[in-house]
Amino acid sequence: MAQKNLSIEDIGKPLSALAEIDPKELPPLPPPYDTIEDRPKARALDESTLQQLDASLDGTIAVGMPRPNSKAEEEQLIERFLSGLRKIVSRANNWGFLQQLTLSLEHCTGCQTCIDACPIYLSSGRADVYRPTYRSEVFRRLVHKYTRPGGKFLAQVAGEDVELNARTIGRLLELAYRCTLCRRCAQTCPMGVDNGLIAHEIRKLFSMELGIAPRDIHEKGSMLQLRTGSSTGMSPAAVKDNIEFLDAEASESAGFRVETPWDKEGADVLLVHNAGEILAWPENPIAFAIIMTAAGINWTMSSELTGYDAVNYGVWYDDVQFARVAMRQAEVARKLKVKKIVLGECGHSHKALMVVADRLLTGDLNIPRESALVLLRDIVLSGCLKLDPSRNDFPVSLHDPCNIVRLMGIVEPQRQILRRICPQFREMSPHGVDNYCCGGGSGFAIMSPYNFEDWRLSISGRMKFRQVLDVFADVPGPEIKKYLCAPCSNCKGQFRDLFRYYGVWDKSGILYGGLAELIVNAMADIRLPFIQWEPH
Amino acid sequence: MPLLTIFYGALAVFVSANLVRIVRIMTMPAHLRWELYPVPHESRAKARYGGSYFEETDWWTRSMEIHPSGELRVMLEEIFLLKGVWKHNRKLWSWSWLFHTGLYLLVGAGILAAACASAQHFGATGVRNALRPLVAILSWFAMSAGTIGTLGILILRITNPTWRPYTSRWALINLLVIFLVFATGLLSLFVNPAAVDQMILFAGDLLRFQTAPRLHGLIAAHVSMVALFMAYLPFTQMTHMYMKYFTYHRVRWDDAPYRPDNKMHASIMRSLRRRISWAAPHIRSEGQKTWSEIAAQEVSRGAKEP
Repeated sequence: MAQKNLSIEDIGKPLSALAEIDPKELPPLPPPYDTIEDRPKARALDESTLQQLDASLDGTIAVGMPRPNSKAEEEQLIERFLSGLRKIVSRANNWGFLQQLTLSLEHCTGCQTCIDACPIYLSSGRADVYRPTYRSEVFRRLVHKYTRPGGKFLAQVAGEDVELNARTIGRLLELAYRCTLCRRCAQTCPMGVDNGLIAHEIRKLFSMELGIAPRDIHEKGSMLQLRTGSSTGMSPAAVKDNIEFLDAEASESAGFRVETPWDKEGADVLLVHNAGEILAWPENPIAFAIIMTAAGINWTMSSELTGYDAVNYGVWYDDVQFARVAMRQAEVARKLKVKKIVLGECGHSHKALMVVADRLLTGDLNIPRESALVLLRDIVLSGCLKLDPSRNDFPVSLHDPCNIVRLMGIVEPQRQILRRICPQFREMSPHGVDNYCCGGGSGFAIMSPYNFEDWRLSISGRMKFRQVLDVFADVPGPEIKKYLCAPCSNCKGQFRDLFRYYGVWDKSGILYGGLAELIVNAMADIRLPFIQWEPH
Repeated sequence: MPLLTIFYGALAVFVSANLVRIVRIMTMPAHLRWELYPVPHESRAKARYGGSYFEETDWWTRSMEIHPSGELRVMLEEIFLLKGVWKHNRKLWSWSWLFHTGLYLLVGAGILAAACASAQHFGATGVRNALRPLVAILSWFAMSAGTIGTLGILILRITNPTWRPYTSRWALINLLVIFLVFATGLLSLFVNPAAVDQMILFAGDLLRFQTAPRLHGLIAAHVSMVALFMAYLPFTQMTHMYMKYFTYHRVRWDDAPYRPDNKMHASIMRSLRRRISWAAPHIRSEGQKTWSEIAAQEVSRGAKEP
């Protein structure tokens, strides 16, 4: 059951788990998802996994820190962790986030105003371990104890002593991956403390000092991207082949010739998609190609390494990986001499390249960068496409990706489009900058090791799932088809998994998809309906 | 005299320690952007729904619209009404508002007491007589609100499971010191009819660097607690009262885009020349390479690959 009255010191104590999730204690979902027996049970970890890896946080493994086999190994682990702790508060190693981190570590008053803003805490039935303040307070005490003069003595006097052992380290690592970095908590903090940032910094410490990060976002993510050009593993030749195939489909759908321009020097727009779209949701890049062609945009895609994949997973866990990818992406645009980079429907890549990398990209690497939502808005409102809203006459709602909306303030362009082309558009509550995360943020949507997916779908995605059901509550059955517009690849990944997990297509008839698809579906000159009402 | 010396000492610690903290934060390297919306210095229309300049086509070609009045409004609402706590933590708000209002009124009463003493010193008896009741009223409100508010917070933090695990000995001592500041002040007002006049005399002596008069025991205790609080505050998270400027203005609302000619650029360039010592194998720094070398290595590597 969700453990209550958990103390900060419990992080290092030999308890079997700091939280055990009982489905009966989770906040109920509306019918037909309300019966306990229908709720999927979390997969139990097998004995050998439990012996090798630390799962003592909540019985779930997102990263999986190997348990030390001896006292000497544990001491070595502690030493490496302490070394990372010193570096995370140093100018040389963490200049990019030092001021934000210091302010957040030194000014929390423990008022707990932020806790009810956290969808994970609420969706867990208020398990103390998932409070945004819990991991931050543990980390704060460790930083104060081990990096300040007299820290150990002061920690004892103040009653803020946390024992540092392998258990503490293993649990803290997992705890950094029980937060989607949606920063809804930070929005409510009266002091301006950012618990999302602290989770981000803990992840960095583990990755950059101990070399520990989730395999799906490190080895199979940023490392693969730097090696092959894309986190999908697609080489430049493969991506061109795939897009050529999609162009043929686009031409067939549109009824006119669609051909993606490659490496066109001096183009007005370098369009960069999350390359995962090309493989998982090809209708999105197809829709973009149709719109760009029909609107007469002078655009191009790049076939250079990293130039055809907007993702930058480093933004979630590792500043060095982040800087490497961002610099390479900017270099591609610089060489092509394009007027601007336009980022496709991918939230984290918006934030990574437009916001976090902004001050890193100095000189001629600072190519102007813009959101595709803005370009699409301009195209739709300009009248250059002939649009027929009656083609989209079905219930539509909008999910606000945290990275694009709360963290960048791009709120209205997507709504201006939907109000223009979707007669049955309705808003979720809350929405805009107060939205709830899809539950797949910060890499969760592509992470499914061990039993983490069960946790991600039943806990971190629960609040958003409920919101989606609520917004379509007046048309609940599968006979009326509904469209959830999610202009972000990561969010779509989470909705794909959530909808499969709960059987949403069969029970409620909700389809998720991007924004560009809705625009093409409304294009009066397109012969056939572009949106195929089939579950992805 | 000892009380006066203690007070001056506390004031010196208060000013110098707070300055050290502020300078430390201000001299940290320029950081990467980490803003959060709504950003209230955006145009009124955008600030209302949390929009940003990123919503504009070719935003980099437009001049930045910055409205400091929006930031000021939000900060004033935060400082005087605790709007965030009102919106998200109603259970705590009433106690917290009383406590914070008590502190502001206490500072106000202190300033008015000093003004009153100055007026008396310069023979402006009329002004002195006009200000004296105000000092009394502010003091009564300050001590009452502060005592009730702090007591409420103390009880919540000790008894309520939402706060108890996050209330260390240190946090309790913080609250206890503030409670004693207010409680001793309130008690003096109750038991000593001349308390307000004694406070004004003490304020005058502080300004003139003169020997303090013999204060009533409770007022002396109150003054001592105020001194302790002042000396102690810069070493606690209570510095949030001014650090909010940095957490809000310098982080949450810092949406300034890169410009090659601004001050920040020089700081960023210095930081990019710093050596990395992160030890994970994929960093490949060997403690020798700088940030720009590490990132640029990949750019050149990318260019060479087919």
